[in-house]
Amino acid sequence: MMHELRLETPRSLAEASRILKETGGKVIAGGTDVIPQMRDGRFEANTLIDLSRLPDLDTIKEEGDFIVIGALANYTSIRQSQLLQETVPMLLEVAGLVGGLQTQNRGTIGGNVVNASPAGDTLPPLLALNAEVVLNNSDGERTIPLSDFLQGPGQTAIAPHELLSEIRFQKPPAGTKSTFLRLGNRRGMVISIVSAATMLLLDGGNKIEEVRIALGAVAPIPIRCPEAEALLQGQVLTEALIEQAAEMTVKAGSPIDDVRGTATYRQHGIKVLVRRGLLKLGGLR
Amino acid sequence: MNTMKINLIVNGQSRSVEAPPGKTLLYLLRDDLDLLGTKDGCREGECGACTVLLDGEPVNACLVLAGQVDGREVVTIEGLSQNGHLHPLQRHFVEAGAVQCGFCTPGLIMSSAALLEQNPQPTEEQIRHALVGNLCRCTGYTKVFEAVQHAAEEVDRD
Repeated sequence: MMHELRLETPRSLAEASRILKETGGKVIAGGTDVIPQMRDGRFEANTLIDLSRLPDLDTIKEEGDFIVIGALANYTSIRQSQLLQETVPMLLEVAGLVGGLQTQNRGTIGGNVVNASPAGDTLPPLLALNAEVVLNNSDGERTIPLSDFLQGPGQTAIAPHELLSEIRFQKPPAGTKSTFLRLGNRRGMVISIVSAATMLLLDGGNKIEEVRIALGAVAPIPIRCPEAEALLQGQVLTEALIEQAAEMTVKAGSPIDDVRGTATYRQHGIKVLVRRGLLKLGGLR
Repeated sequence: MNTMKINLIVNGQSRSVEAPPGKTLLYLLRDDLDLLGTKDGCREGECGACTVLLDGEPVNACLVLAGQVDGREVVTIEGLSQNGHLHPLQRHFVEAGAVQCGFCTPGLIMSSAALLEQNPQPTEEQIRHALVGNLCRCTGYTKVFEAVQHAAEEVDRD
C-alpha cells in the first residue's frame, strides 16, 4: 500500500489547501501518529500531503494579548521556548513528557490536537488555557474554541478540506502558575492513564482570582471541571478546600477500564492529581 | 510503483536514491543504502532501535518518510567512527559491558552522540533523560549510563 502513495510537499499554506482540496489526501507532518496508522492500514489515501516544509508554521510568538503556536511547532521547540517558559510553564512540562526525545523532535502540537486522542497530553493544558484553533481551507480560515473542536476519540470538527494552522490562547495574567501532572507506568514512552492540568492565580491574601482544571484520559475527550472551578473561585486557598474540590473533579470524569488502568484507578487518580497540582501551585506542599 | 528521486547526505556523503516516497527512512537506509546498523525493531517509534540523527537531531527512522529527507542530512551508527577508529561512545560501550544482545546498541549510541554534541558534560539524570526513548531488555541500563559517562569524560578531556 505504501508503495503506491504519492507524496506532495507544498511550500505554502495556500498550496497545501489547494492540494488537499484536489486530492483529498492525508495530511502528515511529524509522522509520529500518521506513519503507524498508515502501516496498520487505518486510513485509505493515495496521496500524503507533507506539511513539514511549510515555512513559518512552526513559530511560537506573541500577538497582542495572545500567544500563537504554529501547528508545526514540535515538542522540542515548545520545551525550549522562553516565551512559554515565562507564561505557561505547564506546556514545557507536557512537551518534555511526550514519548522520548526522538518523538519530541518530530511530533507536533498540531498533530496532537488533530489526532484528538482522549489521552493526548497537550489537550488538557490547552483546554485549561481556553485555546482556540485556526482552521484553513482554500477559501479562507475560521477560528473555533478547542472545546468545540474536540468531539470524541479521534473525532474533531475539522472539515474534509481544512488544515489546522495555529493554536492560540490569551496570555495568562502575570503571576498565574500552571502545572501538568500525569500517571503512567513509567516516566517516558507511555500513554497517560490519567492527566491533569491546573492553573492558579492568587491575590496577595491567598484568595483565588482565577483557577482552571482540565483532565485527560478520563472521558471520550479531555474535559474541564467547571463545578470544582466554581467552588474554588474567589475563595481563600486551603488544604481543606483543595480536598473538597479534588473530590468534586472525580464526578467530572467518566473513565473506562482499559489495558492501561481501571475506571476505579482513574477515578482515584483524578483526585490525587488535582490535589497534587493545586497544593503545588498554592505553595502548600 | 510510484517512486521519486531522493537526494540526501548520509554519513557525510551525497547519495541519490530512487524510492517510493512512502517508504520509511529506516528501509531506505537498510534496503537501498545497505546500512544495516540501524535496527528494525518495533516500527512504531516505541523502541528507539532505529535512532539516527536527522540534521543533527535524534529521530526514529521508522517514523520519517523517505520523501521527507530529500535535501537533508542523516548520520547513522556507521558514520560515527573516523579513519577506522571507533567513536569514544562505541569504545566505552564495549569496555563497560554495555552491549549484550546488541540490538538496541546503535540506537542508544546515536541518542548518546546527540546528547554529547549538545551537552559534553551531562549528569547521570541528563543521560537517563536523553535515553528515555531507547529501550534495552538486556543490560538494565546501568552499564549503558556508565559507558556514556566515561565517553563524556574522555571527549571532554580532548
